[in-house]
Amino acid sequence: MNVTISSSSNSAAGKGCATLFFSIFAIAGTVFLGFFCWAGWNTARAYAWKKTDCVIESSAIQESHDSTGFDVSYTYRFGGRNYTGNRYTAGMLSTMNSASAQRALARYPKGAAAYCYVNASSPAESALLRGNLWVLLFGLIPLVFIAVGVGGIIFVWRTKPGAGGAVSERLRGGKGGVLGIRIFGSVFILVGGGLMYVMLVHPMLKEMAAAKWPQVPCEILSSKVGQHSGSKGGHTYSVDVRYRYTIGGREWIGTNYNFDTGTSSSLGWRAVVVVSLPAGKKTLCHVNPDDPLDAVLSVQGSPDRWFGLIPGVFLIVGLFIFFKAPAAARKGSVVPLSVTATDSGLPAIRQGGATGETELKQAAPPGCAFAALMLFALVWNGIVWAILLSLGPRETVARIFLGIFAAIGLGIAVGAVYRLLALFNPRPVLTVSAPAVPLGGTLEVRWRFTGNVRRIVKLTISLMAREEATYRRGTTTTTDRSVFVNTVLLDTADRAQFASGSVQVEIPRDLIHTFTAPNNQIVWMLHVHGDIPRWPDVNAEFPITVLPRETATFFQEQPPTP
Amino acid sequence: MIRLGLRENQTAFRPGETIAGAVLWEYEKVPAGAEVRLVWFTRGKGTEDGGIAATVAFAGPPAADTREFSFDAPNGPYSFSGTLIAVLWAVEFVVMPGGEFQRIEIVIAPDAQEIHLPRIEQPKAGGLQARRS
Repeated sequence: MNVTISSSSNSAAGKGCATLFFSIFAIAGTVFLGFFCWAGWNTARAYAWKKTDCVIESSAIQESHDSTGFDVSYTYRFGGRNYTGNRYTAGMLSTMNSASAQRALARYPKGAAAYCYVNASSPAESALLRGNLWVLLFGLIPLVFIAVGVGGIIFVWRTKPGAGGAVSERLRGGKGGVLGIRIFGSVFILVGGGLMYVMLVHPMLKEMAAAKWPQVPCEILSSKVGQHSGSKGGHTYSVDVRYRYTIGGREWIGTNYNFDTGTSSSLGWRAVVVVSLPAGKKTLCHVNPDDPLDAVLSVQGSPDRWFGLIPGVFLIVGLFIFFKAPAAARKGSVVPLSVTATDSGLPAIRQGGATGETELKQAAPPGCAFAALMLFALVWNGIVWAILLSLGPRETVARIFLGIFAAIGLGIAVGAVYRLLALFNPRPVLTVSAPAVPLGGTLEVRWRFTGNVRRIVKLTISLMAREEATYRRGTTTTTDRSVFVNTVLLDTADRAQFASGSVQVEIPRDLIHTFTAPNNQIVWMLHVHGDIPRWPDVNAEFPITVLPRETATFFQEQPPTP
Repeated sequence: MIRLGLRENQTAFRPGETIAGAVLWEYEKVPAGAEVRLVWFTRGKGTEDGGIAATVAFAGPPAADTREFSFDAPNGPYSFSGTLIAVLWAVEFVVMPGGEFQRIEIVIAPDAQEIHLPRIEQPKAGGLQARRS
């Protein structure tokens, strides 16, 4: 046996890097899980506390330069004793903002009677509200991280197939992988879809609704560009604006400029907005008639809005993984064109329709290659240039770094243009005398071209066969190819022969038939190459099905072409 | 203790030929199951693929016994060895639970010999005659 097994993919260094990579997942997941367990316990235990009458003694909104809080004090009687509490919530609650603080103030004014929840075993411990239990569902996310991390490490260090254990036991166990792959894909779908909804879809839906809300006069109280420390050492910015307006005879404070959430490194447009909103300016704001605290100054999206497309890449990848899971996990199928896989994993030969002329399908139609490259170029360049254009004037290092990605994007775009030009090439059409041919058999191949064949100066048609082995190295999947048959059937510069013709192809008897397993393939094909000066060449592969010798009896010899 | 043997120690077969043999096992406790499986699998640079072509299951096996089995060698895939991929066949005897097993690798190919694939870098000149239609 002359098979060589790659040593690099199994090297200790490669395994070490992969282990480090997956360890980060596992550690991050464990840390977050610990946080959720702690926060979840604090939330859940409040649901065992006793509901008790209380009276609000004082309540006020607490504003600081970058946060909003709600200060409350209340008294209650428990077990014959009086207590004073000042805790608004027990456990997890969404972050307090100006709107939620105003809602809390309206719900718990001074002197109001309310309910609070008291820890019976320690009556001094109480809260007005209990945290949301559904938030604990987010605890599933760190579990997925842990599963990916631990599973990845096990995968990296597991015994190389074939080194031990019954092969048949491994093959039996291989069918359970679909669920795992689908769970993995679901993480991408949930994260990508969730972020895309928050960053892109939800703001757009709100804008559409807000366009119909009544506009009411409002006065700008303050405005500034908020500066926040970024995770990579730089700064991110926000429009920090406060304005007041009156609804139903009551004054409200709004803090939302528009419906976009979060901060970004884009300073320019925010500075322009802040300059246009000086303190004391009278303007109009859009107010939700069903909720006077739901108000914005602008129903236009910010230039950062299109960052919301970036999570879409995760969504697409997740959907791809999810729906390709059965194919990825399938083991033991052998599926050439006229050979199907049995349940046991062996090829079964279809006997019906085994004869007759068949037009071959091109392996990768030029339109598909162009569409795939064009889509990739659009996504790549869209993301890179969106980030590049949002950079501030002083972020030179980031500009240089992103310039490398922009140059790669340019190369991809050039490749897409090359593929576009190839779409205008004359296209070969190949017809064979039978849909499949056994080893040692003969196949009649006819060719013709559609389009302007006179542009071709040299035409070559070859019979090729190659091995294709797909394997994982770290986190990437690679396919290696090795050609074992490359026989030129036609090699001519005589233009009179280009338009159409035929050749007899004799398939070698002592080689291997077509073999298509998920990770290993033997591919037989007819390769057509047309040389076109100063233009992308015609380069097309047409797979053919070569069957084992024993199936020769299924095929009738074709009559010679007149 | 388990043993697996093929008739006349034959390990190379043509498609359609009979692969016959016998198995023996001896345990203190009654095993949950015992099977002889004919499997193919890949070896080489690519991630392993494979399939179970046929199974002979011994239902309700006693603690110790000797049984015979036979398979018809399938039409394919042939045993072959290339630069990147090899396809191998094997007969495996597996006892459950625990998965104790014995395996004998065999060859299934037209001439009862593993096919060796060459590696070609450049197209060969020549070829068959082309004719205009």
